[in-house]
Amino acid sequence: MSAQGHIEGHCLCGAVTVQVRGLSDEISACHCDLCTRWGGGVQMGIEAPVDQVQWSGPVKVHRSSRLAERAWCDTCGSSLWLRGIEGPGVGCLELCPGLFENAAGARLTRVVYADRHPEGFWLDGHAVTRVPQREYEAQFAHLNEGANH
Amino acid sequence: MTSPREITGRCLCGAVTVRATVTDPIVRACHCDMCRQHTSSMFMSLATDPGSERIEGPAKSYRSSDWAERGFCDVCGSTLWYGTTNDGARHLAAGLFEDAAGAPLKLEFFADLCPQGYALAGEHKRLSTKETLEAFGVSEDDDA
Repeated sequence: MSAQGHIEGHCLCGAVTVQVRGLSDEISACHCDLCTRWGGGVQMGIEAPVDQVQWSGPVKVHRSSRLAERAWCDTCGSSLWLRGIEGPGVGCLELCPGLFENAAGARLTRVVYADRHPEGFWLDGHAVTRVPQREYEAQFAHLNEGANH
Repeated sequence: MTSPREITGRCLCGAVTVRATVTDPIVRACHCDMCRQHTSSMFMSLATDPGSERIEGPAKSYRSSDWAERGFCDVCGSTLWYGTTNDGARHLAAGLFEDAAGAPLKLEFFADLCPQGYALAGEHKRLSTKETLEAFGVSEDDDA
């Protein structure tokens, strides 16, 4: 993983803007139940250190589990990011690639809950690491307490 | 062709419930700029029986263009639908339903606008911008 320089992004209506330093050049996707319901079918994110992200606009958040909260634009409903509150994601934002032109040039490298994708569609990519639910949750003991991310 | 069956879905937090009937449903993905910006990456919808869609709960809608509106949950921000204002049609997000109602991905719109960093797998129709606009009978000057 390498970090990108300064980059700007915005939601569909433009009310929310983000300015980011240290955005990863890797995209991760998640097929857990929460991400699937939130994102309409597939959820993707690009990591950045939370203290390197500045935003402005009508951001609304929902604590979706003990581990994370999810943010969206209150005007247009665009998905914005996931922020880790407890566990492995603390200190990071998973910013939605859709905020950036051409997904900021980042590439999909990892799919988690890979075995939980809906039967009818899945993501392509030979160089993609696919982590099944059991393996992912084994890495993070706290996930076994009924919380998804 | 099978007979219609009723399906129920919900958003992440459960505040919004959606119902519809489906008959041999398919999933469609759209990579246009507006769908890409509204979701994390692409909008995936389930082809439900037109007019059968029912939405209950704190759904909010944003008028994204002269002819379209987009629904989301006001509590948790889940993406709910893409709607067209001239006919009131609402295309519900596939992810609201368990296993996307078992429907296969059959179609990608604006496939040439998909960022280079990811792609949907499988054999299905991938319509370019030109082909997508032709399919909907609109000119290149219009916005989605």
